[in-house]
Amino acid sequence: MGGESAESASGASGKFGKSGNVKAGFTLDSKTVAVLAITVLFVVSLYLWTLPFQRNSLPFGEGDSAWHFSIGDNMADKDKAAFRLPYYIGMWYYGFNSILGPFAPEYPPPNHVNYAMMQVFGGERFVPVFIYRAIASFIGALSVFFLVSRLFGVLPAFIAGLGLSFSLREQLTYLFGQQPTLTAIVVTPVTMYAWYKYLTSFYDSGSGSSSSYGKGNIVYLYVTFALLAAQYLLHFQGFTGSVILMAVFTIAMAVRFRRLPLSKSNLLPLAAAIVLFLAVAAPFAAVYFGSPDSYKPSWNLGRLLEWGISPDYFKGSFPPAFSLFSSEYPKALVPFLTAGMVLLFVRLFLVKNNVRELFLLSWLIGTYLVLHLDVFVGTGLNRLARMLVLENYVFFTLIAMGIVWLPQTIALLLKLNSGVVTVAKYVLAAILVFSLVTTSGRATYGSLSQAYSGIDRITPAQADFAANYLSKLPEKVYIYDPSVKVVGQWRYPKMRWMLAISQRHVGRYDGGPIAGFDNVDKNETYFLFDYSDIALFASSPSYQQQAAAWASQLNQLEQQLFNNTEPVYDINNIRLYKYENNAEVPA
Amino acid sequence: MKGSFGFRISSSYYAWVAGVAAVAAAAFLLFGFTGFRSVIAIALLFVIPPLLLLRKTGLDIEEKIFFSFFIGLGLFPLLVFALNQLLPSFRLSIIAAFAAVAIASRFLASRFLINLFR
Repeated sequence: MGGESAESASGASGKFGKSGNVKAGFTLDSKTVAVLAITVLFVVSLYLWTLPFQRNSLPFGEGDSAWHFSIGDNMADKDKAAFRLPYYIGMWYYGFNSILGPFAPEYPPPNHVNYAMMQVFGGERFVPVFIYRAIASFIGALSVFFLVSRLFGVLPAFIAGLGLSFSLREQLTYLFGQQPTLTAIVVTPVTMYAWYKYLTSFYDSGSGSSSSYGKGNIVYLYVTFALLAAQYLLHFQGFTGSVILMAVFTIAMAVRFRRLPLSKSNLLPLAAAIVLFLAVAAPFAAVYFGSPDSYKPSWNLGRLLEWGISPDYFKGSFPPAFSLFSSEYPKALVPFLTAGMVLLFVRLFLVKNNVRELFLLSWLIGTYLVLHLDVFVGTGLNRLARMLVLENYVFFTLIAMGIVWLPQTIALLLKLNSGVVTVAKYVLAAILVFSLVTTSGRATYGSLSQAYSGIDRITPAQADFAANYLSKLPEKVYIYDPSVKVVGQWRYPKMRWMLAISQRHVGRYDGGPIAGFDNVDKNETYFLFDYSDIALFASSPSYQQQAAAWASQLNQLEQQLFNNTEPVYDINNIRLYKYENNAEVPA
Repeated sequence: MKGSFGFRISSSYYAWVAGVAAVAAAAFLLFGFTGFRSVIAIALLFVIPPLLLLRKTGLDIEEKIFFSFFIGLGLFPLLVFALNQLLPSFRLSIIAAFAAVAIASRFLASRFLINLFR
């Protein structure tokens, strides 16, 4: 027994859309239906996820967003993909990597090379990169579509994909700028599919002719390892997620078939795949393992009783809605999710060829293990929270499977004919799609069309100052910005976007000696006093008092440091001074 | 249909080409020529290179396209990066990476290598 036979036995198509044929006076080829569904999902997602920059092409996102952009931007600008970071970026996390030393990258090159290639081919600095970021973030909807359509048919695949294109969790990760993590995670469903195909072909071949005994289709084996390598290079978290999910499924299959997926025939291809993977991964091991993150298992066994990650664990990194069940799954979806879960367990016991059900169960268990790595491995919970995206993938799949399995099971119990099942399935699907569009879809439009539309995005005056003035200063200048300490953290990403646009280092100043770092040239040090945001706040009556207090604080520091000194730049409420005395600055 | 490099394009790819054209048209409506170029660039940079390597495998077209895209996101830029350590220009390295993949796909299609990896 293997995957293919299991697929045919449980009623849904293993190939694209055998169940997805449309007969409305003419017949659409099943593969065309699948391509059509993918195109609709892609266009809808492209429209929604690019809303933040459809009307305003200035860059947006938190500090991470600016940091990643800067590296790719530098590659395209200098026409060189260097391993070491340039001064203005390297000073950001200076000395971060204990193995590779100062100016070492925090990630392997692919994400940033992709940004650079998008600039080269797109012909603009920001929009092509942001289109890539949007696509590389919402593509998780399509990778789940691919997996579900191959295993269960186009209809549940479309529903799961639509739900994911409206996922708040993925939107926030994308908006905040942790897109490389998300892009590595979105590959997981495709990696899992390739591994599923390999294992099912392996166990199929076990009952075949002696020449192919226990070998399996090794193309899927190589593809699995190529996908793992891609994930490793994009972000370690995506790679880790896939490895854990694959391990759980492998164990489940070994138990199901009472045999490990190893034989004399597949040892050599498996070894070759591992060697090829290591050849790609090993040169970048120091990038990951030189980071200062410490991994001490928490052994907080109480956490094992929780399914996900409570917002209390990642305060400051994400808003509470990021992990709240009710924010991610509207009430109308809960019955379908419950039905999907219950029927998954029922089918595990009732369906003879239950490999696909076993696959979904492994996915569920693997996701639980990934979300509890803090207990066993010590991964930080604010970082682990990003892996909650894996929960979306399996939950939206179960929601979609609920509408397929529910009518099937009821029909089986009540001995109804197949026509009734088909009608019930499409009626439920229509209800679910309507519910998704009117709840999550509407919320997605609202949040993405308003994202970074206010003071939290770099303004034209700030962008102009960075592009046309700061960028002309010497390459190794260090520009201090004291305003973050005065006005608050919302200012921080804007400061970093000035760094990205100018390709000059702009860092926060919290008081104290100005040259406390290595590599800071006191003769090339500047201070930035940016009142332009405060002026915008002051234009709103409700913020006038707050704006006046901030302006007074910032002005006090400006007078203290630069009394009787002429600024080198003074336009649009933005002033820049060259720091030329060596006196220490009070904290 | 035969391409300029002698690669045969199967008619089963037409639906996918039409799908990419539809997405590129949507991007054009949203962002003008920059949007169109960006979508075409994503298809060219991330899908085509691995697809050249997978074209002789027994995978079906949907598998080839999805596997290619997700492999391409991580491995094609690595090849560009590696070549740029030898070549003076990043832009030249992108072209060289394409050429390297095209040549490799010719070799991978040879019976000797197919048998070696079996």
